[in-house]
Parts: sequence; C-alpha cells; structure tokens
Amino acid sequence: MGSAPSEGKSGSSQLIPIKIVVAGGFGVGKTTLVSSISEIRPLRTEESLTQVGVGVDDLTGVAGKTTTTVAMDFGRISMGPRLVLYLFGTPGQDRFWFMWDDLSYGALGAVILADTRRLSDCFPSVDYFERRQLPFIVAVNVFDDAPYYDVEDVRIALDLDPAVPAVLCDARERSSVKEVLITLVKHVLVEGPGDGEQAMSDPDGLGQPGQVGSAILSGPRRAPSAHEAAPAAAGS
Amino acid sequence: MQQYERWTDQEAGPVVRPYALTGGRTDPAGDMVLDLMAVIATAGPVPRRAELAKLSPEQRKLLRLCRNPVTVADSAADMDLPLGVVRVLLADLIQQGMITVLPRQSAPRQASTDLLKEVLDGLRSL
Repeated sequence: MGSAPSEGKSGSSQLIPIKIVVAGGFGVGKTTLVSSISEIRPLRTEESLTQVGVGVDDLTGVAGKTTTTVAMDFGRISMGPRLVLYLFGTPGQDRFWFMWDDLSYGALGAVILADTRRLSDCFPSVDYFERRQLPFIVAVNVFDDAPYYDVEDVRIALDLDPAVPAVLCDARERSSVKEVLITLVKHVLVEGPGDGEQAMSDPDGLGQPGQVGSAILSGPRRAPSAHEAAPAAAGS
Repeated sequence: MQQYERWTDQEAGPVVRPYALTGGRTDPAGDMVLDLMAVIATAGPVPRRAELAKLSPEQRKLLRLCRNPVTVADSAADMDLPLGVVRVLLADLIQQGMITVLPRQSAPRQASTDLLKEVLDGLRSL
C-alpha cells in the first residue's frame, strides 16, 4: 500500500535484462534448447550484405541481392518482476558471423552446443568466445543415434581450457537445459563476467543523464572486431 | 490462384520491403545502433495529436509498446519487424525526444555477483 520507494522515472530502469548466447553449428539443436526452457519468439533482422565479411560469404547466386534476412532464436524467461533472462541462439550459418558481435555484446556468457558427430562445427564458436573473453561452457547434445563419448573425450577434442565446464545434455528436456544454464551461471560466478562491455557492471551507463552510454553499440557492423578473426576458423 | 496465395505467405516475407518503412535508410540517425538489451521507454510530454499525425503507423505502435519499459529486442519481436528497421525507427523517436534509453542497472562488482546469484536462484526455481 505504502508506495514503495520508486526507482523514479529518471532513475534506473526496473527491468534488468540478462542475456545468454546459445551457439553451435547448424542443426545442433539450438532452437530446441531455447524453446524447451523459454517462451520463444521469432526475431529477425534484415542486414545489408555488404556488411558481411568479404571472402566469408558465398555470394554465388545472390548477385544483385543487397540485403538478407537472418532469423534468430529469441527466448525469454521472466524471473520475478524485474529480472528477465534472454536466450539468443546464434544463426548457424557461417555467413551470419557479423551478427555474433551484436548478440554477444553485454552477454553474461555463452553455451556452446555440440554434436559428437560433428564436433568440429563448434571450433569457430570456441575460438570466438575465447577471443572475446566471454565465459562459456560446452554442452554436448546427446542425440539418440550419435556414438557415445565421454565428456572428457569431447574436452580433449576441443582442446578446452581446464576451467571451462563441459556437460552432457538433452536439449529437448527442460530439466536438462536448466542444468546447463545453471552450470553456465556458476561458471560465470567463478570466472567473473565477460569482457569490458558487459552490461552487468557498466559504470558508463550511469550517472550521465541524457547520455545513453553503452546502450548504444559502437556499431558492430561497422567496426568489425572479434568476429574478424573468427571467419577464418569458420571457413575451414 | 493458389500460387498467388502462396506468394504472400510468411516464407515469402512481407509484401512491403522492410526498409520502405524507414524511407530506405538502413543506418539509424546519428549512428545510434541500440543494444538488443537496451531498455527503452516513452519520454517527454504526451505527444499532441498533431505530433502523432506526423509519425508513421509503425512509430505510433512503437510509442504504444514503449509505455512500459521494454528491451529493444522485445520491441522488434512485438513489432514483427526486422531488428535493423526497428533500430532506425527508434533512433528517430529518440532524437525527437519521444523515447528514451533508460540507464542500466547500477552494478558495481559486488552487485553483479548478487545479480548472478539472483539469476541462479531464478533458474533453480524454474
């Protein structure tokens, strides 16, 4: 009844969005994972093809086409009145690398989903997040017809840092996905949040009325950074 | 004809090229590329009818969506428009002072640890 101390219209927003990126190769089950735990909605973007890394994108057959539509998995989990967890599945195809900076900006961490039949598909993701210094874990999606591997074998195959957790999961199972996300958040608690751009500890975003601070990207599509190096791996 | 109907299904995409809604602009005003997780809300005095009339239907819809704070990603999904288009529309509204980007939650190191624990608790109780 008594009006709770309002954070005020000019104060901090009461909505606290937390972002987790779900990466991995094409068809590894990212959409399944996101939809088994969150309310998933389509989010698409229309990007100019000129922004796409030259030499990475195969433009054969799309001559004259200047924009391309990229669909992303976009899941939302409300955790109480202010905290909202967002899951973003990265577009699987190599030619959408340019979206990764946008998706990773300010993220809490990443889950790299792996398929033991195509483990090499997650090399580019591992490279990308290592380079970007965004905490990540590897979750091996156990497909019914895939050969069984010990997680340790996967860890060795991917040459993971000993500190990076690797777990088995079933992307179709809500409880399994929940464990994956818990593993990631615990890992972030130990490792500390990601790079200097993380939204969670962003001193620049505050105390500068009239300035939106880092809510505005420096223009990931105009200023290629971490992803510049990644396509080399993606193209292999 | 069947073919005609199929031509306008979801797969075919919108009938209007998305960037037609932005007057063909693909870069937001002032190079303001908003973060997907930026929280936005309406700002300033309630726009007069004449001001509203100058806006496009999409911008008016965005204003309605932003009456309560919302993330840029949510607004794009709610608008059912490509993110790039929504970023352009939002940048215009921000420049006109009708929408503002809310400051981020203050989070020194300790606070972010608390926040992480809150996320962990939230996940556990799912």
